[in-house]
Amino acid sequence: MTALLQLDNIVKTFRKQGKAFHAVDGVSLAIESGQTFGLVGESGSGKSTLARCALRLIPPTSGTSQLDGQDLGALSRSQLRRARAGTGMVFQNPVAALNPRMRVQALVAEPLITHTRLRGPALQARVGELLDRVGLAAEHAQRLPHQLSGGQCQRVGIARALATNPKLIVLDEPTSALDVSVQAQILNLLRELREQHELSYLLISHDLEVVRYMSDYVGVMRQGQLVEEGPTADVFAKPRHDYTRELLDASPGSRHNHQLVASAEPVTIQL
Amino acid sequence: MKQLLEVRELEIEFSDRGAVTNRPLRGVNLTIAPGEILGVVGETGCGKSLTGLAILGLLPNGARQLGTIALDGTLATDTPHGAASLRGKVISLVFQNPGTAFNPVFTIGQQMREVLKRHKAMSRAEARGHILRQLGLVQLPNPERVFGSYPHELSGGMLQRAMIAMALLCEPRLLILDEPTTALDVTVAKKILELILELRGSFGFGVMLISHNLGVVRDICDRVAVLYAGRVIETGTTQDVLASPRHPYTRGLLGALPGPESVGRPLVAIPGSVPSRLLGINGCAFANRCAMAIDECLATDPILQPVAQGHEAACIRSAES
Repeated sequence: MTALLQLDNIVKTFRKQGKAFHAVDGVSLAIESGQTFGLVGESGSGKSTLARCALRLIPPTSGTSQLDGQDLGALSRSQLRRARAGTGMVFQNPVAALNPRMRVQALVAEPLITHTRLRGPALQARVGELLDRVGLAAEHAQRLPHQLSGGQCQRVGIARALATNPKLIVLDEPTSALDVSVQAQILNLLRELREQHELSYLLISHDLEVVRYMSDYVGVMRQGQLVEEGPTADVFAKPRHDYTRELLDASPGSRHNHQLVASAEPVTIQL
Repeated sequence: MKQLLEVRELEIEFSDRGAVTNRPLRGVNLTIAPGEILGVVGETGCGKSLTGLAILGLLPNGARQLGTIALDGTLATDTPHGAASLRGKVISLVFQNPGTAFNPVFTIGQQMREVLKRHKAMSRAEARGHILRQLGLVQLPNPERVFGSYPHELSGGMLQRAMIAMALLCEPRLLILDEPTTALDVTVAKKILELILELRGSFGFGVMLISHNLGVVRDICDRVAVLYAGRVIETGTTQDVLASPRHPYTRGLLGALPGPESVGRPLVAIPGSVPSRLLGINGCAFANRCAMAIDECLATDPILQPVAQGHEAACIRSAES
């Protein structure tokens, strides 16, 4: 079986004042249909750059990205656009990702107008269906982004990503800007949608618990390289790379971390 | 024991042409003992940061404050020039985003010197020496370089260390940390938390740590106050509150966190969202989101009551859980 997304030796080099910086330095990975691949690592480790290269939103310096067996680098612009209809992307800052002057109705209709021939009442009906799917009420359709909460904005973002019935959705820190209670709502929604639509996710997060909760496979990135990769349970139970262990130890509230509290007795000073 | 900080029945109101439009704080009570780290948790819009700003006397224009804030037994309102004379000297604040909290067009050294100019009579050379010592204290390698650097030349972790050094310049008694690690990577965040614990050990200042991350709170706080809709709804030692929460909201926050045991199961999300206008609430403000709510919850305004030694919760059904 061919993988839904197959990345081979992706390299992305940025040049800054003549100096080359390898944002992504030879990463290969595969996501099977229906699976979620979690990508963790610190800021600047190349997670988002890799995801953008995967969908060819930016062209990689070298390496190939195959979606459903199609090499995205070999496609013409219009072919690439059609291929991208099979993907969706959800961004970190749900409010900033939406045009503040467009109403929810128009925001969700936008990808449909770009990629499908739906117009008029059929378009309206599809938008209504999508809003319903992500847990928004019909009344939200006429709102502007600033009239929605962060969680509701992220639901709009998810509806936009779902609009063209994609097989793969890239989730770039989808819940980092949200409160834990809202994060739980969004993660539950993403899990439901994955089952209903047999979606695959490429999930980028710096929150290890979110990745563990959502992913079948996990990859750990550091300085542009994938330093560890494997089934989620294995990586969390038996991290092999030092850096993975360091990340797990540093995760706030992790059981490894309890010595931090124990070693620091509250100090009372004499008044 | 004498409390370092004592906030009693703190209310904040915003009005428009004489009519009260919102009351984001509805009677906050909390105390911090000298050398204690109190975690203040809750969702966005619960009043966490507003409480911190009120303590610092930094409320926005048009806000009306009721209730008392006492530092070391002295009311902030009784001090000449109010809280402004305490700010940076007795109470300091560390902001969430170190990248935007510093002024981008001045060097770190220049900005730190401002604090000393205001509060201490020091010569330029003395001030420089003091600042360099502080930068060393927060374990910044090469304090000289940091002193002369502009904010954009430093990493987020280094900036947050510099921010802590700046907050500690006048040896404050109380440090307010508003989401100090939210903008940082986990490995950097861990080091910042360790630094705070270490400095607390050597200086003995009290800390109010505002955070929505219960993991961070679990790691470093001695006690926790959970805020909901402008009130403390549960408070106690970190161990008591996080291990045996008695308010449904606290349980909701904990249940919403994904952990090893939640893999493969839906997360227990708290339905709905925080009310944005807090006026005319008769019963419990959480009742409309609470799975345990009964008719009485809509009629009775629950107050904080002891549920165990040093552990209080504001829920009429706290005994049942």
